[in-house]
Amino acid sequence: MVPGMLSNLTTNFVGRLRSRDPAAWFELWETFGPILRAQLAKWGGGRVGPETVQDLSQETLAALSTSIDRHDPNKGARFSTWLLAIAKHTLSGEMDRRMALKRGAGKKPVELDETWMGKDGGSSPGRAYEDAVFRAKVEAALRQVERDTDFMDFTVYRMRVLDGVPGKDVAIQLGISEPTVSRRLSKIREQLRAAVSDTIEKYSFTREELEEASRKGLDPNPKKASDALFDEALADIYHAQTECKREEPVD
Amino acid sequence: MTGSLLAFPFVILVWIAAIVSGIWLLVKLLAGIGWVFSRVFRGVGAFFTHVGTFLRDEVTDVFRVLGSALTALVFAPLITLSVAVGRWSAAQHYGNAMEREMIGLARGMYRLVLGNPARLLGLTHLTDGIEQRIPEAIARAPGPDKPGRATGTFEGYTVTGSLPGGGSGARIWLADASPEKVEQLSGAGFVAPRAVVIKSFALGDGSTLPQIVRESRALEAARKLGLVLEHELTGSRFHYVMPYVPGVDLGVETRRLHDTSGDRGLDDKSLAKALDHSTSLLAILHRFHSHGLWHKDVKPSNVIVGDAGVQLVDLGLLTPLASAMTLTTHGTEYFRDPELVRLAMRGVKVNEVDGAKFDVYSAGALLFSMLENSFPAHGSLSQITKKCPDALRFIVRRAMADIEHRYASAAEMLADLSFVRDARHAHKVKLAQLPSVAGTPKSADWIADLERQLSADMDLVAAELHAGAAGAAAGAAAGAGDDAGRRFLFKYEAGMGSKGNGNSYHAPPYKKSRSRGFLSVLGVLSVMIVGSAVALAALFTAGGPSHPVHDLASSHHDVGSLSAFPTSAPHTPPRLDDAVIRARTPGLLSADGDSRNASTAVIPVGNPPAPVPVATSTTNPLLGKAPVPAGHGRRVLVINDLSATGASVVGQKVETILQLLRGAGFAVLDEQNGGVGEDELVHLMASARSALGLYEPHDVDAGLLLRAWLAAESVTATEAAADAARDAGGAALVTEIAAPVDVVLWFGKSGGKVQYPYRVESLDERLMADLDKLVRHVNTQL
Repeated sequence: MVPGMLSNLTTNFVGRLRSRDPAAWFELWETFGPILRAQLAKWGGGRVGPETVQDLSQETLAALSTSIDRHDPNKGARFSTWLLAIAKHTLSGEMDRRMALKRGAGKKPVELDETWMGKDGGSSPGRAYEDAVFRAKVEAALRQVERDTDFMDFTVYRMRVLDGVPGKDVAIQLGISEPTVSRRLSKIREQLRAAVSDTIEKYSFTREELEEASRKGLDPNPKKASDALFDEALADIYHAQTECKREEPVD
Repeated sequence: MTGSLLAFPFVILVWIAAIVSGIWLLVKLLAGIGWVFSRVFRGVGAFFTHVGTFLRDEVTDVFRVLGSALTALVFAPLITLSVAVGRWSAAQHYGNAMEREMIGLARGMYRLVLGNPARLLGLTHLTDGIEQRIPEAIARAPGPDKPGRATGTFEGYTVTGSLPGGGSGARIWLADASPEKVEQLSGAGFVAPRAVVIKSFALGDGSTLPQIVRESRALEAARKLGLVLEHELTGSRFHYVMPYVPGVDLGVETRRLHDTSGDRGLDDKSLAKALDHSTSLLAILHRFHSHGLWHKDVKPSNVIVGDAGVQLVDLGLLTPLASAMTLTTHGTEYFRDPELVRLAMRGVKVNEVDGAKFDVYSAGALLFSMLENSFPAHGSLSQITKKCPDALRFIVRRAMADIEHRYASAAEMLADLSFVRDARHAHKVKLAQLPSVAGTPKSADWIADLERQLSADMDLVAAELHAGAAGAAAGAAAGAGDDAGRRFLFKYEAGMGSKGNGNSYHAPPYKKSRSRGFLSVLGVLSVMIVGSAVALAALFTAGGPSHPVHDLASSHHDVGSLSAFPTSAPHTPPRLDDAVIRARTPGLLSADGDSRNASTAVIPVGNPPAPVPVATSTTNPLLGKAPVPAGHGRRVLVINDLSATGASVVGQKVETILQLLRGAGFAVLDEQNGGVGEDELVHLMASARSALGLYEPHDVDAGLLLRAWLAAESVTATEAAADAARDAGGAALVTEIAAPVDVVLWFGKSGGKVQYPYRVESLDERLMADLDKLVRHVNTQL
């Protein structure tokens, strides 16, 4: 496989987007909408209000829907760059509209800059933005596991890992034994590893993006020794994500 | 000798070290000087750039101001001329254009005089956004305090003020009922307060038929809850009257609780209050659900906390749980389950899901917001960071969990919550003790007791309203500065494609009401309601008052696309009451169109006419074997915004598509050829246009809006079929019966980079895909 080439899963997801599958678009919106909003708010520098940011982030997805047909996966652009380029285009359009006021009637609208499709083209997104995109992918995986697993099993994992409650206290709270807590933790962790791997793959266009999970402590290959590291990394990402959304702008 | 031999290399080394150190110091010194110079030059450069930007902005704004002023001047004679020759619509059009220019001029002046200089002086944050915020605040201000001629008067009521109309297209009036009216309502069994709210839809005020039809759908449900005092439909206006409910909304109450508790979280006293509010809300939701109703918009601003307890208001989205309607995405982000959106996008019907569970999700989100003094930005993964009993954390998570794992009912959640509330120490409650975990669900007796208690609470509220609301409401109406008035705010409804708290989909004509204007600062609430389609029909049956005929097209200046209709096309302007009835009955086919024979001529929607031969090829060799699906008389509504004419390539493509569809047996409804009565076509076009607002085909939301509109059309058809079948003898109502629209084909404006924007939407996924394929095929072949 050529480095940077799309995996089947990603191709399928892009395929769903191309076929205008509403569920796929909603998924994209649910996962990355908040990041787009934060990025647009940051770029707007206070000149665009929250309402406009909301509208613009929706417009960004609308622009994506027209751009997706021309997307060439072999050019090696990152998924995050793809989102960012379109968001920038949308904001530029908004600024053009504002500056031109009514006299923009005969003005040629801003062209969609698609140089981002090239590996070296387009803007270089900031580190904080890249981190936010990665966290959003992990959150999507968490959400997926929460949906697909037994509520009490996930509750055990959530209390123990995400809330940091000692195993003994979790057992007392839920009226179960500590070994049961451990078993449920393992079960959910296994599913989380798979879900993180799938989600990263789904929203990645390049090899570098695919390897991001391993680099950040979310190794998809289970090793007994790495369980604690995996939980710790996941909890860190989760907390950073909840903090980030509370404060809105990415950086 | 030996000493001097050893000293020599040492001296050499010292010299080398001294030279190296000297060079190193020199380099560092030069680097430091370079750094200082670079900073200075950079600073100077930034300064000149900053000043240059200021000058550029100033010059640009001068030209903008001049441009706006000149353009406004051009409109002035056009307005005068239009008035002189009696072209009122044109005069209004030019007046609107001039208003926009004047706003542009004012904004330009603001930037010229204040905005740009402030930016130059680094005071950006002082002035940024003012040019948006002020016009927005002005736009949100309530309308006139007295209804104008277009609205008319309300017999038995004295209007004392108005409130912002929100997104439903209504005017909302505060009024006092006359003593005679109070007596009359009391005689009808209502505990009638003197202060009321009147929600009015008048075509003369710009309300549209779809808004009225939508508003009327939940009336029957609202009546079950006894919240509508009376309603009336005339030829040009529909209005209904509700009691005015005093209190503050839960958002205000939550802030108050946290203000008294501190930053760490609710103290025991505030926590107890929060639990009381939450359990009361769940009890109310349980009552709604047991009456077969789904509130659908539970959020802090819709929960009113008053002396008489908690009230759930705003019934604008109230939906029967057994409704055959397709789910819509209405609601407010963060308080609406994302799963609802997914299901709505799949076209799932209301009766195919347990709508009560979506209310449970909202109740969980509401509890989260009370505990955290924030909104659940991460849905079910949102983290409660403030001090809170573990049991409550668990209850919130379970309420907001995936629909399969969620509490099965409001009663089940209520049982858990009551357990925590009634515990001696809420913080010591173990999750395993909660009834839902311990497997000890509350008994039917407990639920029955709860319902009795709730019923008693409702009576208490009614009595409170009767006794004390009048003066307070009058205070609210009298003036914004009045302290009594600060406690009251009427809560208004959202429309289709609405936007809640700026977080969900919207189309301009249906922009969701936010807590707007200075009245929103005042605190509070109210009750909402709705008008009943059944009641409308009943009114119509009774003959309905004969009011002047209203021109539908001219009443919709905001639906600019209506101008696409050929102005010369003769059509009889429909009356409001006629149109409402037709809007409810598009799902019926009449064999002969004779309303008196409708009882035998009515054919349910699902009974398609005889198949029509399928067109699979055309005479145009370029088209090849065009993939045209069989029409079976299905109706295609064509919305055409193309500026290109039929002579252009794009125009030809559209014509070809329509010809192919007609040939395949589709009934093509466009402005050229309705195929049905002109009135119905006007209604359908206006309704669809109104639903779409200013969206364009490529907007993602446009698809959602179209689907919602199609679903609404479809449901009215189904309801009308049931009504007509029931009232076999009374089918004289059905004067003009038509089928619902099966698919919408929307061609956007041509020009620009994208020459051929279009959208196909249908509730029938297969049909939608087939037509999409056809359009693509024609596009590539011609």
